[in-house]
Amino acid sequence: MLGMLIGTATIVTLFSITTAMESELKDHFDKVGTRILITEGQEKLSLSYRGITVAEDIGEGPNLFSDEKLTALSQLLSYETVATVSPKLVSSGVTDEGISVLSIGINFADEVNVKGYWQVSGGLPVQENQVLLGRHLADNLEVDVGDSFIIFDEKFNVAGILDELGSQEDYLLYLYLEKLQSLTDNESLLSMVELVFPGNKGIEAADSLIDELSKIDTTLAGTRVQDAAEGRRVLVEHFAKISFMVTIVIIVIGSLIMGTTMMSSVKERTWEIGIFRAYGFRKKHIMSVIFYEAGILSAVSGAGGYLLGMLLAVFAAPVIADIQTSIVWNPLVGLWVLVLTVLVGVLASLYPAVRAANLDPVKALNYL
Amino acid sequence: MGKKDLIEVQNLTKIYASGSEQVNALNGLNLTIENGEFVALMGPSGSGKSTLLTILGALNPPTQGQVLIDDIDIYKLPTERRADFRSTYMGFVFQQFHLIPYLTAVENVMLPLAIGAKSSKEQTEKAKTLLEKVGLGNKFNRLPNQLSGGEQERVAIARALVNDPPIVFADEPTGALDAKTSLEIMELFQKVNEESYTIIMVTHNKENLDFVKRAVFIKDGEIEKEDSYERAGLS
Repeated sequence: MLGMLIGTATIVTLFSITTAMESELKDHFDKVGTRILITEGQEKLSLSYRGITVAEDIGEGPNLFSDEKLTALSQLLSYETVATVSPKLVSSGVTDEGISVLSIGINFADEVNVKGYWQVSGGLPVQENQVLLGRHLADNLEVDVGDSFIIFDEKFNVAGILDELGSQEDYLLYLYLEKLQSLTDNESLLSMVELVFPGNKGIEAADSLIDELSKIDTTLAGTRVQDAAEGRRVLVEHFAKISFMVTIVIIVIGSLIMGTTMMSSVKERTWEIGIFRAYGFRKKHIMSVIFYEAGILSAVSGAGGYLLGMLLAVFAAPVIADIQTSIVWNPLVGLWVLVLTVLVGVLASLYPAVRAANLDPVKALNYL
Repeated sequence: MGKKDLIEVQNLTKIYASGSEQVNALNGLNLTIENGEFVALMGPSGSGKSTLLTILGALNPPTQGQVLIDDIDIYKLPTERRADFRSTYMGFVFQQFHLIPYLTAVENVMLPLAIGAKSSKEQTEKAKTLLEKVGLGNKFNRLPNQLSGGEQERVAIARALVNDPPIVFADEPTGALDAKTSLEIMELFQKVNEESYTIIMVTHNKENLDFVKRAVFIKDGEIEKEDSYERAGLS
């Protein structure tokens, strides 16, 4: 019984941790979605933006494409599932103090949907002569919210500063897309478009759109943004597969333990079975007795294993899997564990039960 | 019930295979037992008396011959029907008592009722009534290891009677008891017999013949002789 209990507890712990990890990821993807970047001639670019190369040398000859190409994009089947389209132009400007600044032209209303994690001190730009700065860039330029500075030979007011993100965004300047297009003589031209697919199923839709895009006659190419959550998703998938395999092994071992235990029990109680047979118990009655006993043992093991497994998951999950969300005590899972352990216990007792039912009553009575 | 043949054994032969050898436990034995009899099967070890008891008890199919109980050829019944027949017709008392160690006295007595139609309450009441009858009215909830040998035997007798079977088989019921307790148990058997139960008992103990109505002596798988006794009965 202890073996079954420990086995059940292990399965429940693995299941709970996997479920919590999947739930956490789902929440993340529900909140952030899946993103892809659409770029032109990607292989020629060298600017790394969020892990994707977008321009080879922005100062001399950026690979830009006309925003009219978005029309072709919008005709793709998978485009219907896109929640947000955020076109961008990347360029570099020099301040009046000679500091080179990587600048990105965006539509702020769209971008905030893409960058749900942005925390802004001050506010987002609402006028074309306002900018949003990364934390480190603001420090380099020695400006704060409300200050002004000159770049692209024009005076800009700092509407807001992003809280430090620990990424390349800390060094970027954001301004209105149309303003940057105008300042750099790149009217209607874009460096990239960022698309957001909502929810946990966004990955399939994003991959589908990338596939569709590769098949139509366009120079645009799409790449899925590989953020930390994406890596974690792969990890969770592997963890789930390993957990499944461990579960199978535990069920097999648990069945063998249960079968051996019941065989041993049948042998020890041979004379009892002889008594039962002498008093008119049919074979089915003998099997019922064995199944009943196995069922009770399994149910106790299942209930104990569920409780122990959940306790282990609650305390172990934050350590093992770095899970921030709390482990959910789901009574339905408990019920399933109970049903499955009883089922495994009863099935594992099938052979001992048949053996018991077929014992010769006279030999069984003389077993003592 | 009136006096009529309850058990009729015809040409009963039982051969056990022991390695390459065959052992004839019973050799064409014929026996008739009337309803309400108290029969002792006696004989030396290996004479075939215990084999006869298990065959009469529908537990051990003979190699040859017939066992008719209430005109039913019990070994022509399918195995499971024979189990039903045992449940209805027979109670067993074994030498080692064979009480289930983790069940109380009342639960042990209730055991044969577990496959019947009686409700749990009815089963308990019936078992308690029988325990009172065998003098254990104050020990319903004792486990077997909390009872003396004689008390365990009484529980076993109560269990044998709980289904109200017409026949009670007892295999060396006093074999594990001292003389005084043996006497008490035999008196109890006699009392049960007078309530119209037919009792067939295997015994080595000649003192037990003081309580039976007939003794069948078996030797080498055959009936050597039979003795009948007139008993005054218990007052």
